[in-house]
Amino acid sequence: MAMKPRCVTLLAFFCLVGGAVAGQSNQVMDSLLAQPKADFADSAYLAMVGGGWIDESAEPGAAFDMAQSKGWIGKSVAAGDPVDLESFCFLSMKALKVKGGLGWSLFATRRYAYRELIAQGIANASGGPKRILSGDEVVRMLGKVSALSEVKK
Amino acid sequence: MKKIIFTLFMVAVLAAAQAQSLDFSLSTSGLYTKLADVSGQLDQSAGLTFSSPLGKGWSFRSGLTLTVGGSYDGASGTTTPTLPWTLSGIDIPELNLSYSAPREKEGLDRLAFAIGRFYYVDPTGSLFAYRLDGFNFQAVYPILSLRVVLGYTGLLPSTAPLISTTADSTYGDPDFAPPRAVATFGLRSPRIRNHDAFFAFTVQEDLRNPNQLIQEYQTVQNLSSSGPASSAYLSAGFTGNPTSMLSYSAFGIFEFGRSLSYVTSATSTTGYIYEYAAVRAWSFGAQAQLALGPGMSGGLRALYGSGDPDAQTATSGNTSGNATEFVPITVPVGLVLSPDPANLTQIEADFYFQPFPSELIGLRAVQASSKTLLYVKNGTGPVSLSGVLPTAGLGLLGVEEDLGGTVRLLSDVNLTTSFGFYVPFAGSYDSSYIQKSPFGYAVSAGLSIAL
Repeated sequence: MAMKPRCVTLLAFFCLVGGAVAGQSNQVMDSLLAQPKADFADSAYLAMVGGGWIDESAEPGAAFDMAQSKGWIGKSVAAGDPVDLESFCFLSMKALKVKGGLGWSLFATRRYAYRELIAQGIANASGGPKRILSGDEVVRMLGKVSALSEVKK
Repeated sequence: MKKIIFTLFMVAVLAAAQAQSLDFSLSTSGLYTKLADVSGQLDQSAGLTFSSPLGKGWSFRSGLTLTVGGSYDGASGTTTPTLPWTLSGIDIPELNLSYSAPREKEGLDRLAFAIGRFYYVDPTGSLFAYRLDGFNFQAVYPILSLRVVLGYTGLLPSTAPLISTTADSTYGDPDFAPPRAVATFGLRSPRIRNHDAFFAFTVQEDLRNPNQLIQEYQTVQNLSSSGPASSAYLSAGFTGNPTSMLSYSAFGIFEFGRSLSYVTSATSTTGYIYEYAAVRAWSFGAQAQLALGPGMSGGLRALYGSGDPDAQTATSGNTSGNATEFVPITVPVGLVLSPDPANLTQIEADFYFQPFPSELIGLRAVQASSKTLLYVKNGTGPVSLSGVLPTAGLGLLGVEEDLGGTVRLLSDVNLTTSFGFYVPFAGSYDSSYIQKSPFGYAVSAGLSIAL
């Protein structure tokens, strides 16, 4: 019997991110995968746990607050707001400590995070930088960014 | 007047700074060429590209490139600077408002048009491949696709690869290309079993002041000028990709119209007179591209252009009967040679190789290419290559080999290098030319940063 796409996505994420989130409840992941418009809190949780910034037992709200306090999420953004591509590129590159090209190394802004992940073939540019991501896309992208982070270490 | 219009173009480009997407690029490039003489070019350019999706299928794009550098021409021993505050150092590669969307209510699979400066390639790829200022309209119906293009070349830079007639080289505006109107009407069939066919009618009309050109019925020969470069073309061909690995295409182009010719005349006091003769010229081309594996592909191309045994140059100067030289509107630019297609058959084999996965960055992220070009002279008559004897008949002119490599140093930094050499074969060349230049070569290198 063929695996459901969602199961494949989950398996891929766990393989790529490895042990960082392996032991945690699937609650956040389930919540995210069910979201046609991924929210900042759950997206930040995965990114911050993946980068080792918070323990996996932490609440998504705490992950969101930490990312916002570090300036990786805009001050005007609320935890329940839908996450756009450019913001998520920036958040994931910062949280997973990814090295990038000249633009990212010099300026490290949302613009260069977006351009870096487009150049790496991780982000889909159709729809532009302000396109709202689905939960499924957030999980898939984070897996690839995590793999990129591992390669560059 | 042209400079006023160009300034308005510039203002429009700068106004587009409010655009949603802005890309900045820096590139350094150098080119050194040695044929009969040495020439070289070194440029540093900065480019801005603006893009604004306006919604509902509309978008606006514009670009501006400023260049500082210079070129050296060994034949004349002159060095020419390129400065970003002069027209030669300012380039507007693109400036257009475009629309593209399905229009099901009107029975259209897609309606698309662009107004402004856009890049246009004719269906054969051999008649016109460059920017054009004007209007590009395409309507795709389920049973037929229709394209209409109207454009003007007089605001393009003087480096535009428009084929120059003798009169163009003495035309008085060094900053802009010769002014011509170009129009195309094309039809393309729907794809049936991965194949489609196309037909196009293309015309170019020389818009220079006729008083600056040779006049009809003039009796004294003028070798520093020529008649108007107006021409018309009928082209037809097909494209196909029977498998995902293989694609091919073939086309034929018939050029017709009239060409000012210096012919014998019993009534003229000099024995000669300029009169119009019919143009009857042909070009045929075919190409196949095969994907050989991941990151590897090869291609074969052939292009034939008819010549004229009694012409004075490779673009004009017919002296008897019909003018049979094939003269397209633009000419492809090569690394070592960029010959006009008249009286030549070009056979090209290329190979592209990417040894490592495409997402790699660093010294392993290399892309390599090789291109071998064989030039054949079709018969007696001139070709546009220096040193070739017009009296030489059918025969091999020479072979060019171009090798290229690109390394993606970082995700936004690319290093490109190319080396090409050309070996002329003695039979068709003047022996003194071969002695002076037994082979030619060109080296280029560039570093580009996209921010």
